[in-house]
Formats: sequence, structure tokens, C-alpha cells
Amino acid sequence: MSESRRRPLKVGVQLPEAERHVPWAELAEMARTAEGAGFDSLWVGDHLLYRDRGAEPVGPWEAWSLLAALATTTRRVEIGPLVACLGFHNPAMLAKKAATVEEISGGRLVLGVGAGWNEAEFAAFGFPFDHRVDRFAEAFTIIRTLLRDGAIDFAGDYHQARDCVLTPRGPRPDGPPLMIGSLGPRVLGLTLPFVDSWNAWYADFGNDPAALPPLLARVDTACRAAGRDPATLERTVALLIGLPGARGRVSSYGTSPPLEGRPEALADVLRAVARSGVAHVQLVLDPITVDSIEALSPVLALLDRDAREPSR
Amino acid sequence: MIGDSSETKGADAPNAPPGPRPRTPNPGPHRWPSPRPGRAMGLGLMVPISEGSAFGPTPRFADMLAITQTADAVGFDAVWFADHLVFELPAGTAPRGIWECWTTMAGLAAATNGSAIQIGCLVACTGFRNPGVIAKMAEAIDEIGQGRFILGLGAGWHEPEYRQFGFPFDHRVGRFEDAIRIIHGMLRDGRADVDGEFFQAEGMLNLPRGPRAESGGPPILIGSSGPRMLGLLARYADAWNSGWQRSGEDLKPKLDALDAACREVGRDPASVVRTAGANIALPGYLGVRPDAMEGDEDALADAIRSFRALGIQHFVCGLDPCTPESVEWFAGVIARLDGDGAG
Repeated sequence: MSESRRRPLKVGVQLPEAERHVPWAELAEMARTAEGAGFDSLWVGDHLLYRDRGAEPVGPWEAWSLLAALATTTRRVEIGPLVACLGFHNPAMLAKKAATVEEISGGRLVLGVGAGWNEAEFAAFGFPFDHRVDRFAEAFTIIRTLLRDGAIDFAGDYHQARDCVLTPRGPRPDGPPLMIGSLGPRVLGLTLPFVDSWNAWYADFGNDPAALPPLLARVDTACRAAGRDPATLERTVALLIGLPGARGRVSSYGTSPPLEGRPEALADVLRAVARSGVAHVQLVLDPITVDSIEALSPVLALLDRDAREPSR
Repeated sequence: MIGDSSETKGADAPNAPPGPRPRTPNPGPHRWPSPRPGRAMGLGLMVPISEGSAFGPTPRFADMLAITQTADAVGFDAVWFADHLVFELPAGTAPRGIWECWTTMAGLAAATNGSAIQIGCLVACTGFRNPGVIAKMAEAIDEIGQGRFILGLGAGWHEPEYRQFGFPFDHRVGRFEDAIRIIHGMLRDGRADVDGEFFQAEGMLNLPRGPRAESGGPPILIGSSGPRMLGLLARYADAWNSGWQRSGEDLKPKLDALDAACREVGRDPASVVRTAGANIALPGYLGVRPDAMEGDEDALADAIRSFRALGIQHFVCGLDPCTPESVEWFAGVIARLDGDGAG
């Protein structure tokens, strides 16, 4: 579990995915650098293959192997998938992987989940892309029940887990916290009664902090519709940050201009994001390098100073 | 039965249809890691990963790491992990759980960098995962451990875990055939296009590639002695595992079957790396690993020599108990085997 920092919001880093070839040794150095610089969390995408139009196909390292390796490479930071695509995993198996990474990390996993969106990778690996939300609903029920209760008996249209037990389990009695990465009304309705936190990708709000209040209001509305007290849901968002040497990020998911500026300006942005009700941000850095991670250390120092001057 | 390798019990049938021949490069011993200098037969250790294992209490990750580090220190060449989801053995008894194999191996690969110890699954069940994802996990762990991963594969055998986790138990060898074609293509050629009956791959790419991309990725071992499985092994695998044996004598018919399967597809039988395992009772035997070889250091060294005499190139020790202390004790056996020279 991340140590308690009195900055206005937790700040994490999204590790590189397929922006360029990044060997494990460099990923490990990024992870240690981020932990040393005072970041609160490290995140990895859960994808298999990108086949974007006009670009060579690229792929990321398998996400759960990375999470397990990051768990033994770091000691303090939270780690998690941003977010695990339930379309790629047998649900009870994903619960077992999560319980094992929770164990390896000593209770530092945040299990982000989503339904997937990138049809090209479903097709290449032979996963069905149809009925994604129906499949997600069954998978989510199996995963949350196994992680919370350790057992389920479930027979669905797409997934079965008959008299299934999840044992052994990691150090936290209720398992890792769950995070939903979705804006879809059905998925929110299914998950908001159960999850600890919610996440939006930066392209979901144009990477514009000023666009967050209406988005967060939608989440409030979805909470009330699902019978969840909105005040009990932690909100997290990814933010794209441009640093010297930025290459520009192009994604079939969506593209937005990065936030840029000196540490004071970026700290001001993060303070504003915190005031809008976000408790945790995942910074997507362009370029994503050890130097970029170090370059944000002054931003964290500025945020930590807020705690000592609460009247600001 | 803890850590039982996945022999396909009763699932094989003769007259398997010939699969496509592998493209490039050929399977063989060139991909298998050399044992420590002076050894004709490498030594592996089965690391406890489940409840009710030879560790005694449920091994925590810290325990598995300590056993792995001790194994490295006393001279083992490899540590091996069973890939199961739950055990209901004997049938009708309360389920015993197990940590997930692949994330455990990935965590240990990162934690042991700088060491030469190999990390492998004995064996991973292709019935539990998408074959393309198996290939990507193998590539990732090979990258994390800087080229120290061994991909052991089997078709599974324990029905209750298929039921509990919602995997089909039928056509296990047919599913395995689709899976090995995809996995082999992904690791050796970096891509797979397989329109199988059970698994499909269409423009499936293995990206990024790990440290052994040029030689085709980590070695592939198959743990089975069923006739159809041996046929697939002869086409696709670098190494074979016997499962758990009482003695070297028990191995002979299985070795003959392996040789015959190779000849049937024109593969030089000598190009298959032979690995075998046996359970070994140490002081404080818990009785968890059955049919164990017994005796003092001299007697155990003799028993293990009988496997080396049969041409076994890597021997997997199923120690009971298996703790850092018992692994330390076993160093005396390793010293006796190493004292033989390369013989």
C-alpha cells in the first residue's frame, strides 16, 4: 500500500506500452526512478497488438507478466493494469492472476477493468468481439465475487465458474481494490455498486481539465442511478503530459493535445484537477523515458508543499 | 500429485492426422540451456506453489523466492513450477488452491536477474489460456529474466479445475494441437495464422520480441507420453519431460515410445532433449509427494545416476519436504553427483 502522502491527489505514471521498443531493464529503471521520485503508482496497459491504419503493427509486453515483475522491482507504489481487458481473460483465471500479483506485491495491486475496444487485437488472437458488455457483465461478477468472497458458483451464457474457489489469496482480506475504466452507461450501471474507483482515459475528455466537471457530473448521475453514494467513489483520470522531446501520440482510441509547461504550471493543473474531485491521476508522458519521469519530480515536490501550507 | 506434470491421461488416440511441419528454425537441443560446467545432466527443482504442498504450510511468495534463491546457491540449474488452478484430490475432498503459475514465474524472473538459474513451467496447461497469450507471456518472462525461461506445455488432466474455472475438458489433444501450432509459430517465426478447429489466429503477431528472437525464443518442452502428444512433440518441441518416475527402469518404455514417434516424422530422436523427474523423500518426509526415492546422500545420488545412465539430460527433483533448509541438505547429493565428473 502506498504510504500516506498529503499531496492534494495521488500521482501515478503510465509505463510505456508500444510507443517504442522498451526492454525490461529500462522498464525496471523507470519503475525504480518513479518510486524514488515519489510517485504513488505505476500503470501498464493490457493490450495484445495495435494495428493502426497507416502504421506498422506494434505490440506491448504481456501486461500481467509486467505487473508481477514490477511487484518485485518496487516496494511502495501501487501497481495496476490501466485497464485489464476482460475480453482477453478467462474471468476466474484473471481473479487468480490478480490474487497472485496482490500476494507478490504485498497488497499493492489496483485491479482496473474494462470491456476492451480495439477490434484488431480481438481478431488477431481469436477472441470474440460481439456482446462485449454482456460478456463483461458475467466476467465482472465472477471476478469481483472471487476476489471479495473467495468462492462462486456461476453459470452464464458466456462464462462458467462452477463451485469455483479462489485460494490462496493475498494479504488484504477483501482482495485488491477494483477500478472501472468506462464511460458506458451499461458498464457503469453494472460496476458502480461494487468498484472502489473509476477511471477515464485522457482522450475521453480531450485531455482538458476544464472538461472534467461535466464528465464527473455524469459519473455522479450514474452512481445515483446505480444506488451508489457518489461521495464514496474515488475518481481517477489519465492526463497526457508533453515534455521536451515529445514525439506526439497517435492512437486509434483518440488523440488530444498534451498538457505542457514548467513545474509550477503543471502543479497548478494538478491542483485544479484535484479541486474538481479527482483523487488520483495517471500521467501519460510524451516522451516516456527515465528522464521524463525524473523531470516531474519537482511537480511532486510542489504538490507536497501544499500540505505544509494548507491555507494556500 | 502436487506439481504433477500434465500427462494426458486417457485422452490420446492413435492415428493422429499429420499436422503441418514447422517452418523455421528446426526444433532441437541448440535451444536448450547448458547445465553448469562439468555436468552431463542438469538438475532442476520443483518449487512448491500450492496449498498442502511439500512446503508444509501454504508457501507465500517470499517462501518461493527463498527456495529459488537457495536452489541457485546450492547449484540447481533450473526451478520449475506447476501450472494448476485448484486440486480436488482425491475426488470429493475439499479443494486445495494454488498460486497462479505465470505471474509467480514473472515475479521470480525479475527478482533473480543476475543469476543464471532457469525458470520453467512443468508444465503449462494449454487448456487454461489462449495460445497467443501463452506465447506472449513466454516472450515477456524470457525478456524479464533476460533469456532464462523454459516453456513446458501439456494438455492438462485434472477435470475439477476445468469445471471450476469454466474451461472445456473435451478434445484436449485436439485443442493442444491447435495451441502448439500457434505457440510454435509465434515464438519461432513471430507470427501465427492458424484456422484450427478450436483456436484461430489471423495475422497474430508476437510483438515485441525478447532476447532470443533471432534463435526463435525460449525452448519448448512437452510433458506427455501419449502417442498423439508425442507426434506433436516430434514436430514442434525441443525437449520432452517424462512426468514423475519411481526409477530409471520405469522410463525405458516411455523413451522407446519417444524415439519411435520421432522416427515416424523423420526427426532424429537424439535431437530431443530428454528430461525426467522423480520424487525424493528427505529427512522429515511429509508424504505429500508419493512414490518417493529414499535414502542417505549416497543412495539418492545413486538413484539419480540411474537416470543419467539412460541419457536423461535434465533431472527434476521433487523434494519432500521442500524448504530452504531441505534444499540446503540436498546440496550433499549434488556434490556427490558433481564429483562424478562429466560421466
